Order: sequence, then structure tokens, then C-alpha cells
Amino acid sequence: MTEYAHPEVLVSTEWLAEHLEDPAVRILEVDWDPASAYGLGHLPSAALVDWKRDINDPVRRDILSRDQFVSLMERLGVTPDTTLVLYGDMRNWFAAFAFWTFRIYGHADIRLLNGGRRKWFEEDRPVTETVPDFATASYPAPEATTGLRQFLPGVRDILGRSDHGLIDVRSPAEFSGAISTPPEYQNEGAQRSGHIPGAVNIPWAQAIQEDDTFKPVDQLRELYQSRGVTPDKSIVTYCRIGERSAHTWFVLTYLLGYPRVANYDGSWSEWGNAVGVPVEKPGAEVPGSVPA
Amino acid sequence: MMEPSHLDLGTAEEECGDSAMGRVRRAYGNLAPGQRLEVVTGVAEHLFGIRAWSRRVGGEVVEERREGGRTRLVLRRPAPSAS
Repeated sequence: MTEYAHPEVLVSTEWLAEHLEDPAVRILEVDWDPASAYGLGHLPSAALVDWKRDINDPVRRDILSRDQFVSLMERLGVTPDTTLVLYGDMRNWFAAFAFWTFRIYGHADIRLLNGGRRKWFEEDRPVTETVPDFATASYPAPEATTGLRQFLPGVRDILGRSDHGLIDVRSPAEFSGAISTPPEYQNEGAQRSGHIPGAVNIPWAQAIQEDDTFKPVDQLRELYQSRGVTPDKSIVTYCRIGERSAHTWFVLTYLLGYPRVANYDGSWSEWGNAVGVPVEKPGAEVPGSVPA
Repeated sequence: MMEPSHLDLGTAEEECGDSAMGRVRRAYGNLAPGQRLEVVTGVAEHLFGIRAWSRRVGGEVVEERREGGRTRLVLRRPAPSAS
């Protein structure tokens, strides 16, 4: 089997078990719902990164600012030389989002725990409720990398272009417009359901196996290339708020080595609320049209 | 005895809906004192979370059985103690 394009960005549960006390490694659990995950038990020496509080701007809709990133790293005792190992709840979606965000701010050595919480618990490895305390570190302000992120005008510009590919990684029901937003996520609702015209639907979970580890590279290549998502194109991934699509962004960028992949984190919660943007919804009646 | 409410976590999280534990919390919150909730899952992470959360909120795990690669776990919401 061929190896992933960048195998260094993944660590196994075995590797991590041997590096729990490694001072060069900082283990971060990135949770959407810390009370249901980190708060009940986490990997020894892992610190919590609360997705809502720590990775997002608290007021406007945006990822954390450069200054907020620096503050977060310093609070976690992270320097630019620290190896960050990320894992988290919801099958590593939010860990992948944090990976993407930290990469935007240029942190060099970031790795994802292959299989995440699910595999760690499945293997009955040690878990604790103890919250570690790290000495504050100094982290110089980095420059942000812009090519990893796409915004609504940029997505609109690539519609219909054959040198670009759009992947909608939501479930088929969301892609078709049968459902828009689960009721428990009212602040992620959209006025319209459906998908961005030209997008192919490759649900994020098709990239992983039963134990949440990533599929072998040959299977991943087949999965995406058979749907026209090829490395010669500039690829944009999206979902509802950009976290599932960060997972697919990670797969395409680091496991398959695609050179130009951006995550559109505005995703459907932005596109589906925007005025005047085109929406594809198979089977939808167009007002004013005459039924056949 | 009333049949317990049933919750299968098999498809939790696929549509970026509520987390598995969020679904358990919601279903448990709808129980009247003395009522039971049957949760079925094949994921060890879920089981750990349910047990730990149940201890915290004073719930009782009254039954736990492994069946064909999945675990059936029954929680009971205790009746308020007389003071």
C-alpha cells in the first residue's frame, strides 16, 4: 500500500500512549461540547480547547484572530516548536477544524490522532478527569496564511469553472435539501436548503473506517478521483459551518497531497442565507413554472 | 413495569446533529422519576460517557448487557428522596 502524502501529520494511539509525558508534545482535546466529552474524561495530560470559546471570535462570525491565537497558545504553554497533537469529540471534526485554523496561523508541527477519542476508548487506554496546568509560554505573533480558506465571493467566482472542484461533505439528505438544520442547532439554520451548484456530494465519513481511522490512501484516491475531485483542480470543501469540511480538507491536503485545497467555513449556514446566490435543489418547484 | 424509552446511538453525529451524549441527556431529561431509558450503542466512548455522566447526575445504571457487538444499557431516573 502506498503511504499517505504527509504521514507525519498523523499519530497512532500507540505512539501517543508513549508520548503522554513528552514535554515537546502538547495534547489538545478540541470539543464542541466539552461537558459531554473532556469534562467526563480525557487522555492523560490533554488540555481542553473549547471550539466555541477558543477557536472562534466571541462576537463576530470568524475564526479566532491572530492575537487570540497567540493568547491561546501562550495559555496552553505552547511555543512555535511544540508538537501539537489534536483529537476531539464528534469524531475529530472540531480537531480537524482546529488543525486548519492553527495551520492558517502557521504553527509548524500539528498532528491529528488517527481514530481520535473513539479509538482511544475502544482500546481501553487510560483516561483521567485531572486537568493539567501548564506554565504560560511566549508565542511570537505569526502571519496568517490565506490560501487555506475560501469566502463566499471566492466560491461564487469559481462556479462553473472546470479547473475548480466543489465538495459538499454533508449527508445526502442535507445535500438534496430534504433537511437543512437539525432542530438542536437553531443558530446554524438556513433560509434555503439544497447545495451550491456544481458541488459533488462526498460525505466526510466516507474517508474513515469503522474505528474512525482514515481509509488507506488507495481507497481515498479512488473515492475522490472517481467523482472528479482530482489534484489538478483547485478544490473547495464545505459543509454547514466548516468543521466536517475541515476534516475533508485535511484528507485531501495531507493524506492525498492535493496542492490547492481551501475550506469554505461560511459553508451552508452562510450560502443558504445569502440573498441572490444560486442554489441547486433537485426536484424543487420553481415559482411561476408550469407543471408538466 | 413500564417499558423503557429506547435510544439507539447507531447513527448519532452523522448529520452533524446533536452529539451522542447530547441525545442521551435530552432523552433522560424527558423521563419522569422512576422511568427508565434504554440506550444501545456499539461505541466504547459512548458507554464511558453515559456511565460517567450518569454518576454525576445521580442516575442509576440498572442493566448493562453486551449483545452481538453492541451494548444495551438501561438508565433509571431515581425518584426524589423523601426529606
